[in-house]
Amino acid sequence: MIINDDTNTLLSRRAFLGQSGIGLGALAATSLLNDAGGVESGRNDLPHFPAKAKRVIYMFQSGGPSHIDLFDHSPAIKKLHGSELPDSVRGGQRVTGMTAGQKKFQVCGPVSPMKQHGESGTWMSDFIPHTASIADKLTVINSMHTEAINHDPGITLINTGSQIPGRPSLGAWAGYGLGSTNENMPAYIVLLSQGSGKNPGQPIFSRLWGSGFLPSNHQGVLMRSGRNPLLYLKDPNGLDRSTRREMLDDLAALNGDSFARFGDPEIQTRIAQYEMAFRMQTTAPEIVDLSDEPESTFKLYGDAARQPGTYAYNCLLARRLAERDVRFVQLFHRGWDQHGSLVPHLTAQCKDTDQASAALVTDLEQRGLLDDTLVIWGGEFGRTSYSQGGLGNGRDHHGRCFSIWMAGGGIKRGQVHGATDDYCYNIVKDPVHINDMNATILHCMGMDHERFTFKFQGLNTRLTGVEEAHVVQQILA
Amino acid sequence: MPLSFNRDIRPILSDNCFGCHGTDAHDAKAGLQLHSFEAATAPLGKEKDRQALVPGDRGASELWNRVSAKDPEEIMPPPDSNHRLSPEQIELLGRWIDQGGEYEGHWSFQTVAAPKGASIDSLIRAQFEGNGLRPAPPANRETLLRRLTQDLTGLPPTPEEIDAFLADQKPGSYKRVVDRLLASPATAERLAVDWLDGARYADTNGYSIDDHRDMWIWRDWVLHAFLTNKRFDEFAVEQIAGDLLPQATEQQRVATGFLRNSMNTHEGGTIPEEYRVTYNVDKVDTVATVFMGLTMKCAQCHDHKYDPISQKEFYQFYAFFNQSSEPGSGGENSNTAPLIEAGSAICDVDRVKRDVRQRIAELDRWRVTPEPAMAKIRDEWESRILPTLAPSRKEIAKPADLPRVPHSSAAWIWAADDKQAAKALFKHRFRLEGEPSAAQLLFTCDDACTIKINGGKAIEKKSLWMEPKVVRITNLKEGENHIEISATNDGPSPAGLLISLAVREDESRVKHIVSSSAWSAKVAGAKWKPAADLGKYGSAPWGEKIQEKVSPGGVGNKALYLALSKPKLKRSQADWKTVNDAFAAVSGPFKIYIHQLNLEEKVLSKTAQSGRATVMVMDYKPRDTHILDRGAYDHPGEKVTADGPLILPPLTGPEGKAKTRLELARWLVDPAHPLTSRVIVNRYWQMIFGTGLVKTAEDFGAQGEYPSHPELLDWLAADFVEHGWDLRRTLKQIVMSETYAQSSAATPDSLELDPYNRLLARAPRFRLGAEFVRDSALLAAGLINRDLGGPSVHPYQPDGLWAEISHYGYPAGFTSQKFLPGSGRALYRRSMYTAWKRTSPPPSMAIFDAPSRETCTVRRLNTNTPLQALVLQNDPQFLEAARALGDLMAAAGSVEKGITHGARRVLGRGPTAGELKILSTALTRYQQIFQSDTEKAQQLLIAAGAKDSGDPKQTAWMLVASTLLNMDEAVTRQ
Repeated sequence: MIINDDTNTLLSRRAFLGQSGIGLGALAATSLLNDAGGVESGRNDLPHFPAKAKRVIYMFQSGGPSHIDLFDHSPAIKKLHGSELPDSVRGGQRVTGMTAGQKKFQVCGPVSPMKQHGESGTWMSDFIPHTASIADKLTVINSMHTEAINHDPGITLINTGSQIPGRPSLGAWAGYGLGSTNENMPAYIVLLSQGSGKNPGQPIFSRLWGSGFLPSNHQGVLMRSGRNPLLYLKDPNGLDRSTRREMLDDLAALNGDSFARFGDPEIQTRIAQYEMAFRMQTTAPEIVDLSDEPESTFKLYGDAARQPGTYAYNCLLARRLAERDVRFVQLFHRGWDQHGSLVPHLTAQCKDTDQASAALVTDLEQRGLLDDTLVIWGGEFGRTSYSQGGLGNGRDHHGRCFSIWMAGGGIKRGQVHGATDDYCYNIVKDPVHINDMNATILHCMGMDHERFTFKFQGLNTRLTGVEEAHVVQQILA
Repeated sequence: MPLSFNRDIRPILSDNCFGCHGTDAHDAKAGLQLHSFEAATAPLGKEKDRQALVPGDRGASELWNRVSAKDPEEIMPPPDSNHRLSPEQIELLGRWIDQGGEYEGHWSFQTVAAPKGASIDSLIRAQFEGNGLRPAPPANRETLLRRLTQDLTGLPPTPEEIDAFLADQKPGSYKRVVDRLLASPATAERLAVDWLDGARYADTNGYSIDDHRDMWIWRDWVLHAFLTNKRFDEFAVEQIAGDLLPQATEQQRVATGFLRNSMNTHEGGTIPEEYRVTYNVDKVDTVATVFMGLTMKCAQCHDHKYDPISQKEFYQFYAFFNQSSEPGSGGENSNTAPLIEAGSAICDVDRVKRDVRQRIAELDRWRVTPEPAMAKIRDEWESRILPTLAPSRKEIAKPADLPRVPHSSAAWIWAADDKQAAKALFKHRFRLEGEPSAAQLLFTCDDACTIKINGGKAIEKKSLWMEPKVVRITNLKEGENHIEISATNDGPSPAGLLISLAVREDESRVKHIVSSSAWSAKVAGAKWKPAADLGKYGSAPWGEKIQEKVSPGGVGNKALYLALSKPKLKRSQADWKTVNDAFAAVSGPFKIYIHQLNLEEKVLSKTAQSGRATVMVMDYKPRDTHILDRGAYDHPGEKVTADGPLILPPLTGPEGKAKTRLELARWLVDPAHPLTSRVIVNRYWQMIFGTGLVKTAEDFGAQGEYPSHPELLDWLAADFVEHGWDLRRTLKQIVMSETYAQSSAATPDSLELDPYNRLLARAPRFRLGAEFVRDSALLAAGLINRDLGGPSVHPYQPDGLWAEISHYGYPAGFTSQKFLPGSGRALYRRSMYTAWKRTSPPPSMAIFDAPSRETCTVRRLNTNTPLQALVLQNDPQFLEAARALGDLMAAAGSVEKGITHGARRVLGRGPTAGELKILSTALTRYQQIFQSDTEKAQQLLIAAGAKDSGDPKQTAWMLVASTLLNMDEAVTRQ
């Protein structure tokens, strides 16, 4: 095939195996193979330039967190509370079928007061005191925007660069481009949690961490609570590690025989993959075993971090994965879809996430990992500053502006980027499209989003789509 | 070798130049287009004194001057374009200009031209010369039989089939096997798998909630077509336009389900027209990819950058599919119109009823025996509640025994005129048959209320809404009673009133008077109206909060008492219903769970009765089509009518009438169409050799790969069409070739000369497809269930995968939100029948590169990963297969016979001396290990699904079998 197909990695791997001088007789001695083959090598032409972020932790807040209640401060909105949103502001915007028929569009100010925090004076809601306490470590972007107005297209777009399914996810691109830095774990790990605000939250999909048209080994690997932190990881009851080891040694010898007869390099790769699987069986349980964490950890992340499956637990796992150099960790926390019950649900969502999100940043910094770990917090869109239903009842989806924050590897500290109008409705300064955000994430990882392409259906396809996208230079440290 | 424009020059221009100087006239930089001779030789510049291409003179050609320039301001492609030509490519362009700069039409748009008197082998071997290659020796007969059986059926040969083939010494033995396999149901199943990928077949709707749909009737149609070797042209026409055929039969309409496999949505807030457009674009993409290898989708927003397809032509093609009544917003838990009810082409109604009833029986079993965690809390509840239910006259009058939780049919209500009103009044009347012995009122309000019953004392509540108040009521009377309520709501949060009044009318019966839309409500200044129903007890936002706060009390139900008094195994279905209903009323999670089971059963009930099912089909409804500006559904431009792209042969229709899908379908399979036959035979070549003659099976356009063997591709395409689009013949031609029968062993020389084996001087070696990895293990283990066709099944998968991403627990309820495993024979069906949820595809298959089936896929990539190793080692399905295979091996009589039998079942051959030694040593070792620890031996067997206790020997054989199933060769065709 021509460029950018799977052949690049294949070639390098084969070349490597060819050069590593593994004689056929040595194949049974699997320890020799520990350094070969199992690790995803990434593309030869990457990174394009030195990376500020060696790894990424993306805390995806699924459902559309309310920017107007949490981050985006408008001094004027208090006075506007209860008034009708002017048509000039709404500007014929397409709204979802849920509020399209509404007669009134009453402006609703933030449900809880906002204050300025830290030396940076970043505005944040009283709902998120822990995040507010680390305001000086973050860049808050209040001028994010997206075309999508509903969840499925929205979360698909922000995670894969297209509203239509079929494209690789951001994490898959990262793993495909850069490969793994941990020879015992996959490059892209996904952690799921349910929100306690709206439960069940809107559905999510495996395509959000899928590999799309990239080879499927780049899809995100679910890490779960319970006895099998990775699917199929645990050996069956009754099978000791030593017995498994013996079986793998036999298997390597059998496959080695096969290689002697057929000379197919894929056989050597398979032997190496069984070795990596064996190592994963040790590494993954270590990661989820929190018994080595001191009490101070749970003080920092909150007691919920002891409870497998919670967001706080997943934040702690994310740190443990970062310590082991897993390239890309993505949390998906659901329940941010506050069409109604705005106050109780938003309270519950913030309670789920605030302390642990902030703790993760603090913890990474204390461990010296924040400088080369990019941390992202955000969802697929924001919420309307007008009320859905009665005043203060809830908010509909809003793609014209929303807020996210980033911290760590390559990102400025204590910055606020972009601004919206009095109504927190339209961007008035420095718009950041989600493709710009994805371009910026790739940039922090050492990749030029325009040059990082994969040929699919005849096109040199990239994460950031066919329209122009720009790295947000102003937020780069 | 003389230069070929298509082979040597077009790829350079297409990759590097056409993006800015291609077919898209609107976007051409500097007005220069290079896609045709005319365009490239047109005068350029202000003075019109230059030409990009001056035939025969590279020095005078602007093209050459720019690509060979050194100045970064001059050089093309520009440095910031990320494209750069190699010196070899630049020189090729120079030579081409010197040789006259002739263009050829893009190869795949030219008429198929088959070389006369050629054969597969002659055309393959023609390329060995000059490349220093020689054909590999033939594979041995065992290898060949396994390869052939795997390629055509997705299964390994059985030991009996191996014996029969080895024993058949008469000429033509191989051909006889080919004929046997091609006519087998297993081949129909294998062929169907690839077709299902292209047709994006799945059992769920795909977008958002991703609930259940029924398209398996269409899948059975596909199986039937392959089983009967339906002519491929008819196969195509019926799937695209079966509904438009004269006197279309039910099955011809079923066939159009091909187009309706597109995903659909009913996400709240969806703008239907936006998605109606999306579904039709998906149909264009699918038809263009599957039949023509064209990336037409690229022209949705602008003219195609590489292929001669304008945006207008895209919408002309789109217009064929736009003529239908399909809505943008899909059905919930079901199919979306237009649909028909139809029977299976494969299974009779009794067989379908049997399968569906078995599934319903599985659901019933899940009611009786829920997941362990849930069963535990139900057991605890049972033992707590039973003593309180014993009927005793004296205690009956105690209101404490009355239900303390709201009856499950209670709804949150408020005034219909303003659901957030600060104040609302309610009233309700009800009759009692006799004077009640006890009554208890449970109520709550967001935020406060005052209740009067029969004008008695006011009962007030101001505390938090999530803390209901319970009071004993003593002033009820026989005949008519009435309740009056005044309620208030603070602030902008939602209002709601919830009431359940439990009244014991006699010993065994409790009557509930519950808040509902049957109550009257009003706000100030409005009239009394039926109350607004804000959702049943249990729905957001109040339900779970209430459940947390209310402790379960007695139910006072005689039927429940009787049911719970029986041992579990003695309870009837009616008993279980009573028990589960009562528990569901007090346990939120259990209520959700039972509700899910009920929903799943509901969608099956009709099919269980009739043995038929609905299937989504196409219909014809004239509708205007417009070019959509930048592809946006709400920006219609120029009106267009249905037609094919200009670059292809004319698509004719009846005079004076609009062209329909029927003309489109017939045009696709017209022998003059240059793409369809090439694209189809290429995919079958890909199926058998792992890589197509055109590697980019999905793209035959300018950006696709030039064929490795263009003449062979045309020879196969012509042969296919000339012989009546006979797929079986084409497959037979391929597998009867010497090229196919070569050994797959690589030598250092052959690896060096042709590392990717595109020239086929040896047979390819590649991993089996996801479905066939599992199917092969099931067959080797003797577990496989060979039933053909029918509804999808639910074999093992890890717990919780659907529930953790889905809308499981949403009060209204949706199907396919929680995976409910199947049982019995349904666990061993071939993998193509596994229920396919698009947002969470079967994990063990996704790990082996199965696509999600969200969009059309005609080429799977083939990876080799540690997760695959874990599946083969630890997936319960593979553990069970190892145990069953181990049992077969143990029964063979001796260690050597056992290992030989296992190797033959898995690898299609006996073991080598080395393998025999490794495996027999392992067996002895395992026996020693497990004899010294019989408990572990037993645990391992149980983990592999054993029902009875076994001995350490059995465990040892199981591990040897597992070793075989994990061998590279076991999951590889070679």
